Amino acid sequence: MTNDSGAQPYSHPPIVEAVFEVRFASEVAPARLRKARDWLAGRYAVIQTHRPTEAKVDLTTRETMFTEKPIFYALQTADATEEIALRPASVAWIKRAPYDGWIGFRERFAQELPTVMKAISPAQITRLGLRYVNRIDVPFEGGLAHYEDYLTFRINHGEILEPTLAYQWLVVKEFTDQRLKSIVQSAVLEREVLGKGAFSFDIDIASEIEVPQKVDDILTKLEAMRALKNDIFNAGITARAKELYA
Amino acid sequence: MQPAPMFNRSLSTTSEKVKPANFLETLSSAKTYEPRTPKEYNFFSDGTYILEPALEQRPLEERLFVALAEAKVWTSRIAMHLDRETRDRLFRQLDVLHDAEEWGEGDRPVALDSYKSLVRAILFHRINRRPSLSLMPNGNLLALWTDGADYLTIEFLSRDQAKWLVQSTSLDGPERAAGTSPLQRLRAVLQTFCTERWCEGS
Repeated sequence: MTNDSGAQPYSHPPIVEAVFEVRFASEVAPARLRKARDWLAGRYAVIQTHRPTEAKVDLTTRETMFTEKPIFYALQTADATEEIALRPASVAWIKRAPYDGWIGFRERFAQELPTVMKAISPAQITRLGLRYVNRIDVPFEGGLAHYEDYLTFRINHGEILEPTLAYQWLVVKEFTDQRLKSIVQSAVLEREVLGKGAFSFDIDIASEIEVPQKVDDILTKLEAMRALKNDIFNAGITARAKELYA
Repeated sequence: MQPAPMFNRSLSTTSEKVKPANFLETLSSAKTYEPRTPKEYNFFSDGTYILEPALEQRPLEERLFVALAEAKVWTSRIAMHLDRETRDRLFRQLDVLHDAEEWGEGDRPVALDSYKSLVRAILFHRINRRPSLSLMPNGNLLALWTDGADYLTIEFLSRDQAKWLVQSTSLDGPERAAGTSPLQRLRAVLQTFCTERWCEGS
């Protein structure tokens, strides 16, 4: 999706949402999560506090037991394009479209990750995730949206199911030499633009083995995750798809 | 190539703003087939639900925020087709329309489907001339273009429909017309009333 310099090569990138997520081995104490929220509050316009309740329904006795679940926070910019989700067992940085490139996205969590880690310390990180959800809107031709002209990865189901009304696939692969895992998905999406069909190309790269614990090591690992994500993206879409967003 | 084993989607990095089109509900019922229910629906197979207060029970400012956030987050799905100036202007207009201090009792925040129709019309018809916006009591957006005594108003309805009212003056005098049309037909049905002046320009 991006070139080696980190600059955004597309004028209208198809990235709907980019997420960098850090998961912890156990839930962080509420006071520590609150501290992270307070320290980051000045960087975001809106702070949402979620107070979920768990309801456990016993259909045999017709009784319901309610339990207060840990509070979590979502801090958002005024235009809702940038968000940080502070949950008891994970923290996620979210960038919604328009996506301005890796440099800006990386800069955000490079600045905020040390703050979060300091606030919630000690916390063991069990997983890093870098996920890019792309949405490819393709024009109808003769009443059909030919997704096969845009995506090189696809289901080979033969003539009998042509033309398809919808599809959905998911592929998981471990890259053992890099200690990374990819979860790649694609599916037909709800139409949002008149006269166009749409499908997703969703790439999630995870580090679950020998997960780095220090900020500098995490950022180094992220570069490797991003490179793998780019390789998968470039292998998965056609030149025609790239032209749509050039 | 091996098919993927049963896979718990919650293993992936949290992001579910783009959901596949839901064709599951069109499946024939079959007891042997029970698709896994994703965690994002807040439902667990052991009868446990994670709940938050219904929107109507939350304070006004929170209700307004949620409506605005829904519209802005939806915009991210089509942001690659929308120039930034248009997007920023729409967001500013939405923010002004949802000013809590000016909010009337009984008013409803913007209906997401109406907002979607407005944006889809802007994209499909390449509407460059930006309208004034107001919010109907039912949450629908009403767009207004004026040109001297002439005007065009469009109420953006759900399901890509639009209710329009136009006044256009010719040498024979003013003429008014009204109707309801699919979004895609708007430019064609308004052609008689010099659509270009409403759609073109800045």
